[in-house]
Amino acid sequence: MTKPQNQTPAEMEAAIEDLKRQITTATQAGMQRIACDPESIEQGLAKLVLGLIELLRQLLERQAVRRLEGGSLTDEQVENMGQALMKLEEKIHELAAQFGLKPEDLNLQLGPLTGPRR
Amino acid sequence: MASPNIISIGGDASDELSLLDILDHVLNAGVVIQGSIVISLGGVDLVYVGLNVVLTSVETALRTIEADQQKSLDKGK
Amino acid sequence: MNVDALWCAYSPLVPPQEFSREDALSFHSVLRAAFEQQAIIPFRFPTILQNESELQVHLRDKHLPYLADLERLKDAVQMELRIAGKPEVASAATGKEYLRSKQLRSHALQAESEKARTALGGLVLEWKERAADQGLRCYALIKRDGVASFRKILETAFSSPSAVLLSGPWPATEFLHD
Repeated sequence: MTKPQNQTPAEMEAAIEDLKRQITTATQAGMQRIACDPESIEQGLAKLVLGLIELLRQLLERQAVRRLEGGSLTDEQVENMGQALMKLEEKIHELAAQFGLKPEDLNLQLGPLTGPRR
Repeated sequence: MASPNIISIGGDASDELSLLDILDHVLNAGVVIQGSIVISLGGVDLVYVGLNVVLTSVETALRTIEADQQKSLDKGK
Repeated sequence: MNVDALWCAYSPLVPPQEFSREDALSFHSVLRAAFEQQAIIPFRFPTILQNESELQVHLRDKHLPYLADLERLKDAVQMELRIAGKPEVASAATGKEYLRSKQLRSHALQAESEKARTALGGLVLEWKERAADQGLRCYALIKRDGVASFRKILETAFSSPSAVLLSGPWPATEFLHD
């Protein structure tokens, strides 16, 4: 059986470039101070840190879906990956809630600009 | 005063939205000149020279995860 | 500042260097005023350099690619589409179900962007998209005079209340080659 090769390194490169770009964006010039008025420095920090973790989670989620679609994973691997990601997402929301942050507050780029507008 | 140029299709545009969008563009889009990145905490400017280190670590971590997954995939065949 | 055929606007920094939302917005107004007249290459806010000669050196180094981009993008603007996924809290019974629901979500977003791109047809000179914030962010390079048609086409294509946000025109920052 052949390794699923060339696609993966290129994908990784693209994903890493994307992540780098987003991290640069997120940390450039005290963005948090400008884009919002956090109640405290604590919340501002939490937002930044959890935001970065959420970025990573999204990246991992995309990778996971691609692996799922690639069809070369066993059922057990799929299950494990899914469980891990699900727990990660739950954990992030829990932590965010502890700082009074909603899931959409973790979008570093544009805060609450998600979901359908009603 | 910056005027709104965002249209929410099927909804109504609000000023808050336009403001966020403008800030997003001004802060995130455009040319970056390599140099020091400054983060301010509590009014104190910190020059974050460690950014490259953070990025390198993340890269390495991601590559390691990927390599491990690849290894276990190959073992399973 | 002029370096060869490039014209660059900047302002001196008066300490203390605390930037407020208002500063970002004034920066934006300056950009907008210039952009109304012509294609521009904006720098991120805030971009801080030590002194003028640093800026000069930078412009000298990059003046050919900057000029090339400005020429190429002379009559073009960037329109943006944000396609937002439903803010579902994925609580699946199994790991596999969880991933499948994420996959479905990703496909649904993809379908929306396809729909937009198809509807726009030849209006789009270049198209770029990337996943962002649990949704999709699409950038379309179009001719400056195509903005009204662009809006109209999408307003028709997405007429029912939908999670699609349109903004623009913006300087073509996603389509620079440098």
